[in-house]
Amino acid sequence: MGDLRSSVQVPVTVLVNGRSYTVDVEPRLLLVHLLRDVLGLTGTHIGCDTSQCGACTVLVDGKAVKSCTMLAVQADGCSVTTIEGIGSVENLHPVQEGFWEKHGLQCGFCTPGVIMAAADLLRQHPNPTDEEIREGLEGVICRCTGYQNIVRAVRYAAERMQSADGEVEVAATAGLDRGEGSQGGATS
Amino acid sequence: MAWYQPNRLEEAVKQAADARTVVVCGGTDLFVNWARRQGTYGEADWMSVERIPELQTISLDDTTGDLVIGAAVTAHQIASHGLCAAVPALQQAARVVGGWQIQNRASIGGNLVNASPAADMAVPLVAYDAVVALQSLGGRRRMPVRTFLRGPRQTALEPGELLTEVRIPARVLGRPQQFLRLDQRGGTDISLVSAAAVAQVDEGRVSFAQVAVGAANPVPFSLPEVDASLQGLAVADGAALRDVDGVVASVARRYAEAAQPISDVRASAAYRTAMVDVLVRRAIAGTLTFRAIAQEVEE
Ligand SMILES: Cc1cc2nc3c(=O)[nH]c(=O)nc-3n(C[C@H](O)[C@H](O)[C@H](O)COP(=O)(O)OP(=O)(O)OC[C@H]3O[C@@H](n4cnc5c(N)ncnc54)[C@H](O)[C@@H]3O)c2cc1C
Ligand code: FES
Ligand code: FES
Repeated sequence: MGDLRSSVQVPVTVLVNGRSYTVDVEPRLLLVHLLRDVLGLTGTHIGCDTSQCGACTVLVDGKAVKSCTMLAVQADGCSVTTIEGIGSVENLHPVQEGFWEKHGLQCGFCTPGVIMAAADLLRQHPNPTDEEIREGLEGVICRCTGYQNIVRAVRYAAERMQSADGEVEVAATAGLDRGEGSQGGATS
Repeated sequence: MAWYQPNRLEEAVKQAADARTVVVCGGTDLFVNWARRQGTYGEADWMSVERIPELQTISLDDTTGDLVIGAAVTAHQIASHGLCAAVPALQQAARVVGGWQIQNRASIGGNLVNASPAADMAVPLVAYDAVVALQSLGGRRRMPVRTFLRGPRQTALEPGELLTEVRIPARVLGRPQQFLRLDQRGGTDISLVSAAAVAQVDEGRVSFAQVAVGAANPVPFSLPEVDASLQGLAVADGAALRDVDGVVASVARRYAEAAQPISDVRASAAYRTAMVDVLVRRAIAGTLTFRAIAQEVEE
């Protein structure tokens, strides 16, 4: 990065975990670096340089994206949810609870990304089959837990969200979806 | 380095005319391994076409009945939009572009302009004989995807041109069709070989058949003269794969003969060639027997 001419700064406004930030950034700054280095939200991890591992997954306007493959300026005007914003220690998101209950993590490095990917998956398939869970999580890699428990954790979350419906506040999806496109229709 | 994110197509076309402008849509090809690669763009000015309404729509052309997909439409939108149910092979291809996080960003225009030999959405588009629209200050022109794609990372896009839409001809909409892809690791991998077929059986005979193969040549390719040998092939109701196997096998073999795949860490050229044969056979047979099977289910 060092030898590039220091370039223009562009103002970016993002709503991160419900809080609005306006910051001047270089256009080349990645969203993951805005979150980690500028805003100090280090829960979003970087696990690769090939956009494959999914550790950097966050929700942009409710949709899971890899924040290592998106510029901060591309998120201008968007609502971003990171692992810090999805639930709290007192009030875990059902997916977080699922990972706790079903032992969905070991080292935990991939976990923030997997949880965010799972949140988008459950938004689209509130009652997914195990196959749908596996397909929805194809873009994340876990190198130690193994996927069995991750699938169990997501299934647990789905059941929890179905039964609790309305009682649990689902931070990840509340009010963030722009509601564009039809979600129904053809899946696979 | 500057950043532009116009909301109007005219503005974007004007900015694209500046030689320093690099167009970006989802960025899933451009920003991979960014820490290392950004130096290659030096002083470029970036322009995002992601938020231009004309590039975001999926619609049917009133006069031609063609399905028109804006260049910035994402793989996720293609997979989930009602109108795209008429192009299931494209939906199947959209559903295997990276994992879901990538599908939420990856645009159909980017998939074509990036011109990877393994680009998935490009393959059904070649089978459909879809047409792209290219726009610059000089005006607008159209050309088939088959000629737009020139080689690995090479297209017919001229400096200053934007890809604005992909047009899928009415004649393939709703017809039996299929996209098949072979890969090793699903969502985080790219295709080893892929194939798409679209066909129609009328009164027991093949009246229409178009095939395309991906990742086996510098660009996805089709062999219209070979597809033509499927014309008139008898496919009785309730026909099974074995009933159409002879002609289909010879078509598949000719696709395999025309393939010139590379050997790399993912697979050898010989394996890829063998798989072209298998995938083309399965894609055509699956498409031709689709109607017969669908009727059986109805009965
Ligand atoms: C982890 C990962 C997995 C992937 N897996 C697959 C896969 O399985 N199959 C597959 O096909 N692809 C795959 N890709 C590649 C990529 O996601 C697709 O090619 C995607 O469709 C590119 O779209 P984009 O909008 O992100 O393009 P961008 O990165 O924004 O742009 C790509 C190129 O197109 C140009 N461009 C974009 N839009 C326009 C326009 N409207 N007019 C003119 N030029 C334009 C850009 O200048 C650039 O050269 C993968 C990528 C990643 C990171
Ligand atoms: S850091 Fe690995 S996919 Fe983003
Ligand atoms: S919990 Fe260690 S990599 Fe997934």
